[in-house]
Amino acid sequence: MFGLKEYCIKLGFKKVLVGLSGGMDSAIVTYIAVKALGSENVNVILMPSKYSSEGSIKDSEVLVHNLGIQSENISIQPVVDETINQIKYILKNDIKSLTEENLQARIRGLYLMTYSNNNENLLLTTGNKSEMAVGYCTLYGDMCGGLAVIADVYKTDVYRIANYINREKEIIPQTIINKAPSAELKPNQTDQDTLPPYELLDKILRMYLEENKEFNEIKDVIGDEDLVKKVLRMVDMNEFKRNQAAPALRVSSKAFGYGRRYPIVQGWRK
Amino acid sequence: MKIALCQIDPIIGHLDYNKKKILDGYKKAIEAKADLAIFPELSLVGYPPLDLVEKSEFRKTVNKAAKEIASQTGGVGLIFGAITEDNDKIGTDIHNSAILCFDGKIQFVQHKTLIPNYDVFDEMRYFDSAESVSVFEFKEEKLGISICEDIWNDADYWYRRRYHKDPIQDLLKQNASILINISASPYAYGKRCARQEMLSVLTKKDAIPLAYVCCVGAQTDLIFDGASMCFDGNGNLVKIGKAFEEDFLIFDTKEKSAPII
Repeated sequence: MFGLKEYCIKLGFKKVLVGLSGGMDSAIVTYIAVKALGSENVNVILMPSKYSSEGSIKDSEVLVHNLGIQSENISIQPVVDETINQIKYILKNDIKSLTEENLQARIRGLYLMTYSNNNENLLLTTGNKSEMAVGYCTLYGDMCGGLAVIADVYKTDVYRIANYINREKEIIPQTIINKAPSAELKPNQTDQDTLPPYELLDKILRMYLEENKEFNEIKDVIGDEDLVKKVLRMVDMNEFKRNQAAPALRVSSKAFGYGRRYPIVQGWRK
Repeated sequence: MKIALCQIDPIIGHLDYNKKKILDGYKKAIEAKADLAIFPELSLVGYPPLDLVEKSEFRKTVNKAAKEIASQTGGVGLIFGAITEDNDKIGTDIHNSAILCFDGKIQFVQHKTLIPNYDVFDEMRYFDSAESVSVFEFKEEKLGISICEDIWNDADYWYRRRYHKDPIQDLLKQNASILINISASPYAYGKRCARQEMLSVLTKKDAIPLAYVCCVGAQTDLIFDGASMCFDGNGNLVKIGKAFEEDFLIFDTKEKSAPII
């Protein structure tokens, strides 16, 4: 809260903008923004696609109501469809699933940047530390924005924060906290299709990032050698993404950013 | 003394790959009947390794690889760059070092004295400075071994120096007969001329030959242009390596060569 507020005051931003997905991360960032700047200075945009669940839209609306903020709702679907329609000629009609997923994130990024540009809002990115670590994020998509508010907070800690916020009354809808985390970029997708459970992932990441442990030590604790190998590889391989990310408020002893300097091109784990 | 300058393109952190490059170059030096093969700064780990050096497992693996390289050496000398550790429990305990080996063993290690921390250089974050420098007697020559920045602090050349110490002068006081500098010097336009001019002034003034071996290759955003150089004791550039590709040069310090203009 303090970090966000200071950033806005010192740079002269009055209002901020968040893309609200119906998930935990954007809910927490929006809450922090409201606490830091007041509800009148926080705008959110809901940008559903054909893969967005009804629950997500409803949850977002409840959150908007609970926080008393301005919201807009605009579908990305026509632009996604038309982009695919236009670009399929140069892609020889072969659009990969991952390309389409990223395209959705990028259209959202485009909408948000356009809105931010026109209204002089500071766009906040909502990625958490766990996803930034393994690259579960889209460059020029959900990584768009001027300040990363929770990029140094592990997903498991995001949940702890949500429960803390709700300690007296339900501000973050419990349905958001309870549902399986999903990027909602393809049908019935959950984060755990690609990633290990966050409890396990964060345990590995903490050892690797904060404690500077290496493969052998981590695998001795975790047991699953292939999983540890995979996670560490994902962290290393996504250095190129993090290198292009917005500055992240630092709350841990080892945050991504200039306190952690790794070569992008390297072969240590080869 | 016949010195083989092995201008290689290492991959950061890929120790097996870099080790093979070093051993291949060493073999080539033996075939070329060289007395000594030299490789660039941190050639075993790649430059800059950044926070990889903070991992103890990384350092352990580098140490093991360095010993493996040394174990393969015979009478021909080999100098390569690697990180090494001291145990004085002050500072980082990590050094950016030149390792000299022959007869199957590491014989001598010279740490880097001047640790650059400006512009793209970030070495104080990682490396402790050498306490002292020493010449090493090898095949009737006194080798004055230094690493990159160590040679960039000449009192007569620079109007404003960055450091109080001058390890090159310290080596000369110990009667070094040949200077060897292993470098990773990032490219910028005009840089090659600056290197050449500075090294020429230094070798002429001190009347000592210099073998200056650079790495080549791009490491993410840093581009290393190679162009290793050899100077005779009159400040003449007598050999220069290719730019932007790997190269292998033989520099015979006893042989008279025409200066390259």
